[in-house]
Amino acid sequence: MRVSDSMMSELVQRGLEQNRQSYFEAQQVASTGVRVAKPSDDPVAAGLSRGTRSRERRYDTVAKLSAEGIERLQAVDDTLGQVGGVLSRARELAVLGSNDHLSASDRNDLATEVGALRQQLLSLANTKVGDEHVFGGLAVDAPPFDATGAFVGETTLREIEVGPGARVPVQVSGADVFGATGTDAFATLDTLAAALSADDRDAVHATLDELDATVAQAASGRTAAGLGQQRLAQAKAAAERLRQQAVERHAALTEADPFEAFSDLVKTENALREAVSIAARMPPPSLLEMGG
Amino acid sequence: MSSLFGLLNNGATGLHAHGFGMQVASQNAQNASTEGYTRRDVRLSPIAPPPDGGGGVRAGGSRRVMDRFLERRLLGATSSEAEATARQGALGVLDRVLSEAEGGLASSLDDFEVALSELSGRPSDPGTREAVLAAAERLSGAFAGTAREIERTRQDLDAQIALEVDQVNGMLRSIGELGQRIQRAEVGGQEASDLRDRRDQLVRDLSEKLPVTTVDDPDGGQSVLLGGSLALVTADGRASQLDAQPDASGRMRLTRETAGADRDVTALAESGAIGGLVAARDGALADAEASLDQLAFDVATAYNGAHQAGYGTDGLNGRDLFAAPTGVDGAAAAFSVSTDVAGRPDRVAAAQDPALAAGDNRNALALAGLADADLASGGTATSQEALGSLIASAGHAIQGASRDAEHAGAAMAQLGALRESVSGVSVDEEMIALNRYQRGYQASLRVVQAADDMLAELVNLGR
Repeated sequence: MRVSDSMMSELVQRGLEQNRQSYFEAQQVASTGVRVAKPSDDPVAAGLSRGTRSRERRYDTVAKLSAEGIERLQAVDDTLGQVGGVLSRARELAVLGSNDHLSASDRNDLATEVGALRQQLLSLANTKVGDEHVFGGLAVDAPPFDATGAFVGETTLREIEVGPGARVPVQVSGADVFGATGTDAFATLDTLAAALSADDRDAVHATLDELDATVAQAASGRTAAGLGQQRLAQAKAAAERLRQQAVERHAALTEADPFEAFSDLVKTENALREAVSIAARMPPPSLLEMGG
Repeated sequence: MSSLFGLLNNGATGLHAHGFGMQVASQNAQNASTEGYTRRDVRLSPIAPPPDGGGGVRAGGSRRVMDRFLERRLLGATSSEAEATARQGALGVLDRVLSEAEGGLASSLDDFEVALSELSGRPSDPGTREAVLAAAERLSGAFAGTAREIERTRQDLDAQIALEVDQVNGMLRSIGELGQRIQRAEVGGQEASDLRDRRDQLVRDLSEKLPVTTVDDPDGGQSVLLGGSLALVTADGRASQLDAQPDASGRMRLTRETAGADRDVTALAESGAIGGLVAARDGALADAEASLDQLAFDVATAYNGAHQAGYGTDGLNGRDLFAAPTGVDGAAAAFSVSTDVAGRPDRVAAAQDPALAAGDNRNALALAGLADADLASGGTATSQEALGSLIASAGHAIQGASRDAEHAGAAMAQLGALRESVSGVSVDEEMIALNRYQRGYQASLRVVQAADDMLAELVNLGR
């Protein structure tokens, strides 16, 4: 084949350009660690990585909401612990009030204390976490129990979604705990206070079963709160695990393998070095040099 | 005597022929780097001795050394490379607007879905409600911004097509004029090599814009055809003019006036830069725009449907979250937060029951659940899947263009090397030729000197 001068210089120029471009690309991947920075780098990976990135963000949110739910249920649990304390104290007072040796004045004092416990219980039943009443179900903006102790809240509980179709309540039903749907704690305390005021030992004694039931209701509430926390903790752990998987999948799709990136960089650098040394030998030996 | 004078003449033809040879070799060497230059060779032929002629050598002019078939293939390869390169350049915008960059469509869609999930956890929190509206605003901005960017690129391509057509028209005029000059210059039988080189270079430049083929006329004229059928320059040098005119949708079409009417010849521009620009504009960019519009329409429609069903904290329902799209076309560019809810976080419909509007998160759960719903692509894909598919399609289109450009570039390089191998200048060859002609010149000079000496001897004999 006949070789013209332009052929040689074009070949060298083309070789240099191609090697410089390869080196530049390898340098970009090695320095950023990103293999797919734009759709055309790897269209399939770029398309799939949309799903992994989106899952990563959403699992992150599930973990965050689960943590908030756990916190909320912990506050409910603490409140229910106090509720249990109040009701247990009321039961103690009922046991005390059932004692034959107590005078009417003593029972009256006990009635006063029961009245105070009732107030405390009402206050606990209308507890707020943040700006929301926690025992009123979805009706969070108004106290779920009125001054008479009647439940005016909502029995539907707020749930959060921890996975497609999987929902966990982040509230405990105030109606169940304070007895709108079982033994009414406020009515029981009212009955106890009235019996104590009336110095009616038998009537006082008769409230013991109901008080036991209310203590059990508060305990069930705590169990529900505990179970909810447990489910949320599981959901949070699962979401964190899935998030990590999504992160790893995303990395596998879009990030460069450091060894491969470095190896490519070295390879392209060597190729460029070769191309440069060939270019440095231009122009090739020619008859022109023999002229002198 | 006559033979001695004949010898002198003989020497003179040698001096002239070799001098011409040196001139051609020198011109070749000096144009070794000139783009489009075709090396020349000198046609030397012996002059028959008396009585038919005076003997010696005749330089029958120079001619370009080229392979017509190769030149034709090179035109096709040039058009293909220019097409792929132009297409690749035009599609670059998709790489930019569809990347995972912060504030882009992808991350905005993520933010929006996350904001709705968070709303389902904190429906009564004003900050979370604000965040939903802010994310919806960002999503709107991303849809509209992406659509605007693609549309702007398509408009830029239209403007570029019009500019390219102007350049093409200038080239066509020059090619026609050169054809006429070549015809006039070659009447005497000498090849007008420089003019032909210039015309060939112009045709090569033209092939970067449009797919053209040439048909040579024996008298030096050359027809230039678009897409192998439509004459742009006739053999007698008459050049047609192309025009870029917007069609009903405002897209530039390539037209040529034929019998008083404009004929749309865009389909003939399958390659060349103009072909690449049209292919990018009506291909991947149009597809991306349509997919984006469809996704925007689907997203707005689905979220509006769910949002209308829910209640804001003011206890009212029936409000759109996004401005209701009037149709699929232009849905992305018009994507915006509905004026019903813009700036009014209390109107974000998280509740299912108006009586519980403050704390009810059930409609927020429904809105957040749309992230998993097959609301796009005719109910077959989630919004993220549809966006992923749009990103992958765009990526494939750019990658395809880049591969085409690479392949066409390699083919061009190969054909270019072949052409150079035939028509390119080798300085070494020209040095040898110079040497050869120099020797020939010296030999002819010696002949003249010998004849002169012999004549002098003859003249002295008589004294």
